[in-house]
Amino acid sequence: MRAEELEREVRRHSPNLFSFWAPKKVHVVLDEDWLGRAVDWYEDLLFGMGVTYRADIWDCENYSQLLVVLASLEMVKYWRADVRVPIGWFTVMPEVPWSGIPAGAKHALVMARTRQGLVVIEPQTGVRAALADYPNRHRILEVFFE
Amino acid sequence: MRPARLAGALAAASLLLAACAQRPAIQVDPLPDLPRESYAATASLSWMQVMSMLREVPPVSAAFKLEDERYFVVTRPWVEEMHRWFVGFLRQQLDSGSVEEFLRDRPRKVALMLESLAELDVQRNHAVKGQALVGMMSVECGRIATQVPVDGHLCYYVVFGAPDGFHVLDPVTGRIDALRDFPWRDDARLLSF
Repeated sequence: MRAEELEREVRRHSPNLFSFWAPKKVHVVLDEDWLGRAVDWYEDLLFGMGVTYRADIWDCENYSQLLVVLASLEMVKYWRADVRVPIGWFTVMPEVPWSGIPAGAKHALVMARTRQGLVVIEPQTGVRAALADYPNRHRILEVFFE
Repeated sequence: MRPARLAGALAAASLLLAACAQRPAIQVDPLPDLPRESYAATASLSWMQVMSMLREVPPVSAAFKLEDERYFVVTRPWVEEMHRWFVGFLRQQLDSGSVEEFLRDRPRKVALMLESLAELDVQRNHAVKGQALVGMMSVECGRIATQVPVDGHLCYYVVFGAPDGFHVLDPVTGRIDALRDFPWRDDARLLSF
């Protein structure tokens, strides 16, 4: 799918989106099972590094960015300069708690486009949900697909 | 899209999807351990100290996510080690020509990885609030031939604060320069941490 299609799809669920960025390339949708394995692997990696969620440290964008980079690296063996993997991170001002993360403070999570549609991932806990079911989808501010 | 081109595109997409479907479990190599000694453990700086360091270089705009934290400098060997890991991983997956092409095409990936790892390492080793002084610098590509411009005109470098000042890592070549000696510093647009 093209970047413009990806943006339209995100905005359909998140009409209050302030900004969207994605490379102007073809984005190859991901396999849902692969994404699940990637997230599981990532949670193990964080555990092995001794990194855990702390409410008093504003580091959610680090968890998100690192998952995005490592997940797209896993696809590197299929790399072509003219295609991208549609996985990125976004910021949100959550209205309701989700996946153990409290509401009320700006937060960063991961978004990916699989064959089943757009998926939201909380990289600190591994919880996933369809964007259509994500309760704070109307409060998403910025999306960056790398 | 004309039918012939559509058929070609569908065939290419099918091949990619087939490749995805056949892939086994995740094969990312484990990250190298990041020893505590890789940080100057006592060298966390205040906001004012960071601003003072930045004043040593020509005026470049800087954006910080937070301005009331402690900022941790990182060591040059740690940055070099992580860049080597990144390139080594790519070499396991791609032929040598493609590794350079990948780095030219996606320099932001290197910066994002280093920034994220550095800040998670601050959390792990220091267990305090604080941001690592690792980020990226956007530069007008104009005279730069080693990267494919992002959005048609921007190139990206890793920028990091070390005990002896700010440095710039070229994500393609791995070369490190002091920010004040960075050859394209006059074309720099923004440092973001």
